[in-house]
Amino acid sequence: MTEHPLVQQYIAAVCAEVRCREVHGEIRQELLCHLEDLADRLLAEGTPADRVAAEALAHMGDPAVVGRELNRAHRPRTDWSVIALVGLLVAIGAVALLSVEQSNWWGEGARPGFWLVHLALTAVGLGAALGLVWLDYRLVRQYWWAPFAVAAALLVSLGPRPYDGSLWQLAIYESTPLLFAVAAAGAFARLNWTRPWAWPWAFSLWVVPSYLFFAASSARYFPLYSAVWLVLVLASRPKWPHLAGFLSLWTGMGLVGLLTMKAHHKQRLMIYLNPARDADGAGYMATQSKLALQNAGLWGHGWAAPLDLVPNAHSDLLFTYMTYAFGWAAGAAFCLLFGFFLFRLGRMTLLVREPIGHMLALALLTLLAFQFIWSVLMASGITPILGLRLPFTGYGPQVVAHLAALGLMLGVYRRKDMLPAHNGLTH
Amino acid sequence: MSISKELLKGSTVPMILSLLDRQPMYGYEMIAAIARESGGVFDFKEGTLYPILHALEAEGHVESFWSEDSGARRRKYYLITGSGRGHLAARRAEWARFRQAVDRVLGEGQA
Repeated sequence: MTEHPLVQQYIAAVCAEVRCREVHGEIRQELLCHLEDLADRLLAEGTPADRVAAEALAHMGDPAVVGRELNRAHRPRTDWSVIALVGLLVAIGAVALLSVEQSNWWGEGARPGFWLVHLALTAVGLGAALGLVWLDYRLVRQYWWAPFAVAAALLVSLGPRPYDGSLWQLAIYESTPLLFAVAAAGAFARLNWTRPWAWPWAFSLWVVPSYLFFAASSARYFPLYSAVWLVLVLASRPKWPHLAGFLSLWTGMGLVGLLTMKAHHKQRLMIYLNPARDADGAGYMATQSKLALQNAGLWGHGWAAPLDLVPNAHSDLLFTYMTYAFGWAAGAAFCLLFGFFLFRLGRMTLLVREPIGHMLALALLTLLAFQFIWSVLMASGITPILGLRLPFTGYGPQVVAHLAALGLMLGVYRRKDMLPAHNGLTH
Repeated sequence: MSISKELLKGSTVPMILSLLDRQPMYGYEMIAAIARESGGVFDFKEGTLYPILHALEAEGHVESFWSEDSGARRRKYYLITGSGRGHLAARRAEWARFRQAVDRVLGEGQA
């Protein structure tokens, strides 16, 4: 049956209509299998052997019609709602920043005209996103070590130097969580928990970047990366002993850390966790931000309202400024908008069935969601001030990293129906 | 007697989903089950089933996997997902409303 010229012709006619070549093999196999079953039945019903092929094909229907319909099921996908939402968020961030600039306030790293720099950075980010949409993301599984090595090299070369205010240094810092997240997604896509080396391997995927973050004075990425790592671990379905192993090791490390911590570090940690204890010193930013939010009022203090007491109003605490200037109504609306955006991203992630894509989408979703949630909680004084920024808004090169992450996600989603099947996530 | 294409179009998806709701199946099995359970009324072009299945998979209502039978034919099975079950329930309710409404109008015509 497989070699029959009429059958070959039929399948070729179907595949000719399906633009995505990668799924041709599967379609061929599925249709052949069907035709063989059909042929068996026709033979059993008494059809002469030389007429079986023709009769079976007659049952199948016009190959061009079948092919065209199959093509519709295997086209590139775009989630326009996500693109529209990001556009809106970027626009809102730009407007808020313009208000900051016009309030004539110059905080850390800001100078006159920083709004234009922000626009330029956003444009760079959008360019990066566009390029990444077309990347074949499956490379991430094979070359996961590349982003890992780059991020590690960057952090090692930066070393423990303090932040000197340059955009380039910040750009390097801000790229590392994204690079590590992508690398981890690729590495976890290869992980097989039944192998004995899986556990130490997974653990080092957490330990190495975490250590590098602390060593390069960028400890703020530690909770961010840990969250991404944790999500990837859970998504790869480890066994209970593996999870228990992680928990016990962390408890041990935590205890050792607490016991060996010097007194003044302990004090800083306490203030970190409860800024009110030192409202004029180390807890200043957190307390001021909370006050600003409380004093915002329903409609805010208006365009270009000065908020001198909140440092970093243009970056870390842009959410605080936005709410202060435009009111609780605006702050709540922004949160709802972002929440809806994350919901649509979540839907995209769920629809990606292919394992590498699924891992990558989860990692990127966690990266964006964590930074949003932490930023908002940070502004409200609920979580320690960590220097994580609200995605897509806020001044600084992190906008490029955020948009790049989005581009990667859109790229994963785009190919979701254009790949040959794997044996699904549920098996 | 063949059924008009228009009538068939709206009900193929719920029929397929309800079959998969009972157990995972491959394409030929589904065609045979529909033909059998409909008493031979539904006997449509078998090739057109596959685009429907692939589209359902793209929407996340079903998942597919290849059976790992070495020697025997490697078959592509489909199984229904949670989202698929929800979709099926909605389409069943829609069908019930549709059927009742048409029956009422047709019934009144006869009286």
